[in-house]
Amino acid sequence: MDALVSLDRITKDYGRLRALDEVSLSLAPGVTGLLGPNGAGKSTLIKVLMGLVRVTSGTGQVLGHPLGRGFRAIRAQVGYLPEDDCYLAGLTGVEIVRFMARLSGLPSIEALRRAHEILDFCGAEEERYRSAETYSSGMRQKLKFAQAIVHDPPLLILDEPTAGLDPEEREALLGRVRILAEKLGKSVLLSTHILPDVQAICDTVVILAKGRVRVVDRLETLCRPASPFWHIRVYGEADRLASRIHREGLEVRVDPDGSLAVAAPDGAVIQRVWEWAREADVGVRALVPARNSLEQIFLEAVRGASHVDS
Amino acid sequence: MSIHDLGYRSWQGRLVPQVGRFWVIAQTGIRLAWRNAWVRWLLFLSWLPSVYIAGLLLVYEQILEQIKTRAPFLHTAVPWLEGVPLSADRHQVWACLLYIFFRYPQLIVVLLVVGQVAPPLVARDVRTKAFLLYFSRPLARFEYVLGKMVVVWTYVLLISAVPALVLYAVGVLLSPDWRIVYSTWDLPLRIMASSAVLIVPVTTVALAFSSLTSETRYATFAWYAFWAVGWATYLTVTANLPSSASAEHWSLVSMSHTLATIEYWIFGLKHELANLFSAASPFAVVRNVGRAGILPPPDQVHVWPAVAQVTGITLVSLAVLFRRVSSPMRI
Repeated sequence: MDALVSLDRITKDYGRLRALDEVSLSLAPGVTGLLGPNGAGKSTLIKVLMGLVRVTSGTGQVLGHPLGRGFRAIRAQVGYLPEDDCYLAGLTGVEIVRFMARLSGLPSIEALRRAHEILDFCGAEEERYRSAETYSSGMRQKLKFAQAIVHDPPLLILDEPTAGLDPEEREALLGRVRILAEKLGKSVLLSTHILPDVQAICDTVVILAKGRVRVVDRLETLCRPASPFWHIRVYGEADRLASRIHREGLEVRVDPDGSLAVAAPDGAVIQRVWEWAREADVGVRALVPARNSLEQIFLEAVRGASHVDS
Repeated sequence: MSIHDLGYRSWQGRLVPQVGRFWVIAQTGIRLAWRNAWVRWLLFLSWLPSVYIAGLLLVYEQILEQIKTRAPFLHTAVPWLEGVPLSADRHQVWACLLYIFFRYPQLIVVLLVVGQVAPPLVARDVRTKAFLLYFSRPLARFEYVLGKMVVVWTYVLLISAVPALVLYAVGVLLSPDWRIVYSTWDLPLRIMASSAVLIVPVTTVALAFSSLTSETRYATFAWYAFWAVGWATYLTVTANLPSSASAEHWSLVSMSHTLATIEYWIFGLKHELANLFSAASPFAVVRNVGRAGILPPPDQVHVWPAVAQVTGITLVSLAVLFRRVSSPMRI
């Protein structure tokens, strides 16, 4: 499958500050999470993809169109939700969405019809007829999402889309992204530092730190079972079961949340946990293979400790 | 709540051509400016002087036609006609009246209308970071700037070229002598040229001020200050000069006087007649303050320095505008 985004040694300097440092990246269609701490270069990378800033060096393509020269073609096929709180003053919500649709080339009447349809999809109700200046931050976020998808782009670039949303709205927005990705085949580049958002909808994860790509991998690969560890959650005193397991010569530790992490290279050995639990007089609530947490991977990547990809 | 929520559906219609995208920005800007009641009032008021000038044209044409029978009566009714050489070249009289129309009432109304329309155009987008939305679309900076300019052009045309052309058309229609068309056919072209000279620098300067701030009121203040300071400086330095020719050299300190110099040249006026009409018009009150509007002979009108200055100001304003429009994306 052709790469959605393909970057080759992209560097972007703002004066003496290097925001992107020889970033090489190839993203396949699907939902990709772009992770990184503040100042990692996520927003700059997105602006480079959108043709909003010129690169200092390097080349790249988005949807087969070259960066720079192909900015019109790229923007025609990309829906962009900026991180900043931005809107068009003096216009109502539906007018803004219609205006953005027309800027993308939709005919006037069709743009109005489409704007209403998309605002329905985004859950905007009567407030669409109010001036955007009176909107809450959550409603503005909804409006930005609506304008990003109104022209039906094959690629969505969402920069911190859930920032400022309450849990219910956040879940609803992620649900919409999931619908667009799974049912309508849209590709999504989701820039965020909220790890649960990435875990909720992303297939692939890119971690940026200090302007460099540290990790590019499938989420399921990154969060693979951390063999040979198993997690055991129990009713009763976890320490007693830990002592019992330790007597068998297995490595075991009690985590702060009260669960046990057991190193058991041999899968058959772990089957005996039920027996040891009965002997220790504790109940087993869950026995699952331990997985690497995204948070752990993220922190390690940021520190440059592991998964260095470049 | 929607009556029938269809969910998300793909859209596969036909896109409009890229070339007209700036018009979307222009159309929206025009509509937003129209919501300003001051703009609507100023537009209405801006047409009143054209009624007055049309009356002058009508009187002049009637005098020419019926000079023997009606002239004494008309001279009594309209005292300033005493000095008008009735045998003068009709083209000159028409051109002179149109020049006065552009020079005094319309320039003032243009400044007022642009002061209402232009300041929010870019300043508001700076404040709300709307550039990120605009430029997430297939839109170049040039198209954005053009769209904003068209908003100002539309309103300025509505109060300069359009009433002047209507004035010309009314004058022709009311003239008892249809041959007036042959002798004044070039005036519509001169009107268009004069409007262009007014519109282009005025728009770029106003939008440049607008782009320099996120506060509309600061842009408005800068706009009026730009004209007022130039005008006041000109009046001050020319107050005691011995001749209109000496004063003409100082016209470059005032944008309004610089534009007037170019318009004077565009209309191809003879100074004696122009001065006569100018002095006789109700707007002479403005003109007479510090010899502001005394017109020098054509051979002493140095139009090229004025053209160079207006071109320079326009180019600098454009450079500022383009730079400011792209600056929010650099961070």
